[in-house]
Amino acid sequence: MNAAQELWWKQAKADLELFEHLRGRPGWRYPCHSLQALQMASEKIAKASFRAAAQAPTQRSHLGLTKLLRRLSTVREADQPLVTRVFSVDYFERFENLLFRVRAIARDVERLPPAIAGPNRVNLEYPWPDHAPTSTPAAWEFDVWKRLEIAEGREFLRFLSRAVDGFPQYAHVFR
Amino acid sequence: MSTVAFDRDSMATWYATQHLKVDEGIAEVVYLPTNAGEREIRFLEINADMLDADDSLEPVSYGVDMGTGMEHELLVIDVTPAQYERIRGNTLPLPGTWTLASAVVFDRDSRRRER
Repeated sequence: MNAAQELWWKQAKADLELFEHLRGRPGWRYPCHSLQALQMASEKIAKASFRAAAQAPTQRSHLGLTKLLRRLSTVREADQPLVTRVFSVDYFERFENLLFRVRAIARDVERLPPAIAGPNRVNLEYPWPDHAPTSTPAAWEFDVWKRLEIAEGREFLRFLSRAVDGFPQYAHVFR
Repeated sequence: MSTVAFDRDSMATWYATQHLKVDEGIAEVVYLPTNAGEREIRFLEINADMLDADDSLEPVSYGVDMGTGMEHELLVIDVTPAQYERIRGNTLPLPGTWTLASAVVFDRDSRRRER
């Protein structure tokens, strides 16, 4: 793991801890804030992976978790056993299936920031639609929030947790 | 660093196949070999899941095997289907020397075709 990767990874880890803190907090009523922490953790671990390159993308580049999934699907053969171990699967084909299963939630989380969702769609920060708001994140029942409670969502959270916690073990595979 | 033979077209086929396999939002991968360096693979990925995107088409570098004999660079630009139509209609320019000339399209049915 190079120095830049380490900085992005530390921030991802802090964001994921914030998500877990808010999610487990009794009486916390605002999924928008919990989801914001989850989205930030996802984005930053993806960016950490891209910081392996000599020519790293700009900070504003849109690099969400779905791009990390694509990267993980193309790690070189020699690194596949390591990656499967970090993500607790038996062999790479199963890992590919895991990537496929977590992708839908990864995509939905990736689309939640207002900069991606745009001014007139469900997002984590601002009332919408922009010209005549009818909804606000603090009072919105996010579909993806409910899905985190079912098997699909739990698998996604396990995946993200392993992606973040295990990053120092596999960060070098993106070189 | 010793270099070894690098089969760019085979690698491009593998990357396209994997990206289409794990990301069902990608409708097609367009491989653009013309003007690319010997160890550079350029892709446009037509991403139906992308919401409205601005028109700053910035390639993202997936550097691979850096510092080894197999070193190469995969450069990917995600575009919406509407942006791709504009690129094809020459109303949205590709960056630098990127061009659709001799493009090869990989679709979800694992078909490969010349554009």
